[in-house]
Amino acid sequence: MISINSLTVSYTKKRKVINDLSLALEGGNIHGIVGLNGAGKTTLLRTLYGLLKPDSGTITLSGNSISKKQIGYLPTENFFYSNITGSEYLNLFRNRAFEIEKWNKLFGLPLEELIDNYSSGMKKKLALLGVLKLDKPVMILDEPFNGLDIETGRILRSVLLQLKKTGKLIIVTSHILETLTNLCDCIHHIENGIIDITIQKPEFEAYEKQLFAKIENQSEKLISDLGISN
Amino acid sequence: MVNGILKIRAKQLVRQLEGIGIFRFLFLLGLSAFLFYIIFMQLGQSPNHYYISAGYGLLILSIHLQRSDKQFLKIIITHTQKVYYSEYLVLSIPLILSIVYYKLWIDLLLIFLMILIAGFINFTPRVTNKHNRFIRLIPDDSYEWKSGVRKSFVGIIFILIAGVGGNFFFEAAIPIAILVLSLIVINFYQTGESEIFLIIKETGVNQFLKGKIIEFIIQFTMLVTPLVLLFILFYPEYWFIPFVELLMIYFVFIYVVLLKYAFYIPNEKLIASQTLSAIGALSLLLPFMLPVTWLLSVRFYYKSLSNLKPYLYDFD
Repeated sequence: MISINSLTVSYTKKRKVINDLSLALEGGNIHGIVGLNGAGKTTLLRTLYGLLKPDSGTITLSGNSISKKQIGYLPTENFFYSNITGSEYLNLFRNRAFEIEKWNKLFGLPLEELIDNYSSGMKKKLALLGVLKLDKPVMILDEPFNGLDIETGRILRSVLLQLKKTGKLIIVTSHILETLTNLCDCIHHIENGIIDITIQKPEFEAYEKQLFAKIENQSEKLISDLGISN
Repeated sequence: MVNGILKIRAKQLVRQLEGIGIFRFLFLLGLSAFLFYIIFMQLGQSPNHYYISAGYGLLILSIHLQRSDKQFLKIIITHTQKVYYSEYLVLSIPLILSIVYYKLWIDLLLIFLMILIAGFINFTPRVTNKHNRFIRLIPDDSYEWKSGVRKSFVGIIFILIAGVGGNFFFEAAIPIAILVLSLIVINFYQTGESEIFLIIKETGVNQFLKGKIIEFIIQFTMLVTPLVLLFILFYPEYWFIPFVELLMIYFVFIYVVLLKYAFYIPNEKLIASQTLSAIGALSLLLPFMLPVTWLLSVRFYYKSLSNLKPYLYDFD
């Protein structure tokens, strides 16, 4: 289990991106983190992975300090070194047991081609294969469905559900709620740097309706003010 | 619009200079002035001025071929040549003035001709995966080398052949080829890889830096060993020359690796590193500069340690 206690992270002294956030993430579950753009999702994940140093607070995994050794991390934007092939990229990840060819049957990537010639969706798939090859007990996936086609999105969902069964703790963010409701065991809503609500699977539908109604109500007047008419 | 683009270029240049800091900027300015003085003096001698003018023309062509903003400029400007000519002429002012001073009209014509030709080249050569058989010989961990060799494959092969061929006629051919190859491979270490590339090695900072330096030295040694052996075979009385040269080059490689990670920013072309690697390259041409790279290497080692710590502290 990952325990986050009173976590505060800021880029400048004035603005705290994560503000005294506490959260418990159970192993063997898929946790969704949802929030508007700029709510603090990526900052939270980068801090969990240890790329950002918190101002205060602690993060532990099963009672010990969390370490990159235990985590596979997929960043939102995937950057690769220019002029290397997909296969060369994957070979950087050390895991002899991982059978690249078998896995790639799911993703269908031209691994002997230069990554520079890949589409953005293909780059996302390659980055995902890298994280899967790492085979760490904790997987942090920041917007993994961005840029994926419908088929691969569905395949990824099935893979993550299988990995969950092996006891992995999986954290997934998305700014599209629907991608999380059919995958996660619980969803944590982040706003202004704190988790303001955690919803369990049986409550997803009601929460979705409630959230969409709230957003539509808020924007109704603004849209009508635009004066769009036939 | 052309003015707008040139203003952006000026701003980029100012940002780059700000990135390297005032002291290093002054140092580089002094070095550039010194280099310019040497070029200026050589322009007064024949046939050296032809070599300088032709070399400069080729440099402009090479810069133009490699620039990646051609498509962008084509979208926003009708006559992209205006931008190219303005930039290349501004860049060439010191050399053009020197050439006019010596009244070297043929050289001037040559440089203008090269700039004129460059402006009409509208493509950037694409790197292909054709030479995969050779690239496979490079270990996967050396992604800088895989990427760099792919990009500069033709140039590297040309220099290797020129070194071997020239060795039959004069003894300096191979040492010069080794020097040029070292200048090419220094460029392999000018882009910040994604942080994931660093972390998946799962090593501490010191071990990471040590690994990078050893990898750089091994790859280069493998590249030039045939040249060194051939040189010793032809000129056994000068056997020590390639070894002394390689030793100097290795010092510069250590400097280049430490420089890269001292200014490392994930996924970015490292402007400060690109600029300061000129000091390393110059110290190969002017060996009395070598102690400067030693001193800077010590400085950059400590800077690398703190810069890489956020990514690798878990593995220390």
